[in-house]
Amino acid sequence: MTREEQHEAFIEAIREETAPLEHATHPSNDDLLALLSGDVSNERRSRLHAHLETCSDCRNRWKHLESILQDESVQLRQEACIPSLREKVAGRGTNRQGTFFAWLSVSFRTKTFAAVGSAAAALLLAVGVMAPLMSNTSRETAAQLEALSNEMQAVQSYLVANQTIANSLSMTDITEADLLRFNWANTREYTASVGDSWWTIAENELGNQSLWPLVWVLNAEQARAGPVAPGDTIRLPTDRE
Amino acid sequence: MIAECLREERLAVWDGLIRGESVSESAVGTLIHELVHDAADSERAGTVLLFAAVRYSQMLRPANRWRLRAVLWYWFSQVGTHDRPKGFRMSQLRGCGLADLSGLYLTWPEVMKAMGRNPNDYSVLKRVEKDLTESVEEEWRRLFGETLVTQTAKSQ
Repeated sequence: MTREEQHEAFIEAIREETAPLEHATHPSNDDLLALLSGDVSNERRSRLHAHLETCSDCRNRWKHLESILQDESVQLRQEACIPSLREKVAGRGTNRQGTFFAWLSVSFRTKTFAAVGSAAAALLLAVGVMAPLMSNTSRETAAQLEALSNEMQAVQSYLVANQTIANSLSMTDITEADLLRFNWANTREYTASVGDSWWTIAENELGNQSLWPLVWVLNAEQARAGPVAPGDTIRLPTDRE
Repeated sequence: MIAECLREERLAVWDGLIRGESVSESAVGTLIHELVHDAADSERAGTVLLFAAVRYSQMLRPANRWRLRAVLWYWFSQVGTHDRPKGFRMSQLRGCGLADLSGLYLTWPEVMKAMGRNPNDYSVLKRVEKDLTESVEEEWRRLFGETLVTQTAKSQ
């Protein structure tokens, strides 16, 4: 048997294994929602996937629920966080606060706390991330990262001045390993599609939602101009080989 | 009906392998014991292939288990009606399961890219398929006392 024949035999076996089945019972919408939210045991999750694989009706229901959840999630993020940040940084902020910031303002009400938290975040960024990077990466990359860090800290200062600590704190999630994975000096272009936000772009294109402030700073001019719109060209770092 | 239930059981085990979870041989051993003498060849083949894949995953060092996952992602994406969502990104494959892969019809370079490996390296696919073929043939002989090739010829 040739290698191609072997390969075809495997695919054929998988095709027969995954052929549609007649099911006596079907998962409820609650089951599917639990699956989508990850609120099921591993065993239950695998059994549900086995069912979905062989039942087109349930599969369609699952896909439909998934798309509804995704749309809502993207809308919430864009409405609550990004415009608020953008408005504040661009200096044309209003007193309107999104739900995320409203929640944070309750949690971090005092300006002192915000200042201490922000200082801690900046210190962590400088000592934990930038210092090792300066010694480990090339001069050019280090300079680029330093510039990014300065811009991030400027954004951070503005947020603290406006009693908003949320986005400065989120920077503490960035690790040295996250930054070293990418070459920030050598960028590539990404075309935004429907539903994209700084969050989703960082998550989907860089694999880490926490990197969104860096993506924001990398595209600061555009970010200040308005929300991410379908068709926008976004600069992203390239993978470091 | 029993055969259909067993197939669903097997698919649940495949889902665990696709996610890179550790699956014990005993879980699949039970499925092999359930195989009746007059089981259809497709059912036998499905069970033996699953057993071989489980055994293979246990032979691989943890650092190399991605190889089997890559091949499974590739195989299981080649079935079902074409259903790749518009704007689909490879990063969406992170943590994917059986039903996520169905109908995506991924190319091998796409799978390797999603795994963070060299997209043009086909040696992993060749090696894993070769090893699994040997393992399936060995297991088939052990269970049914004849070679897989002979059995295939008879059924044709």
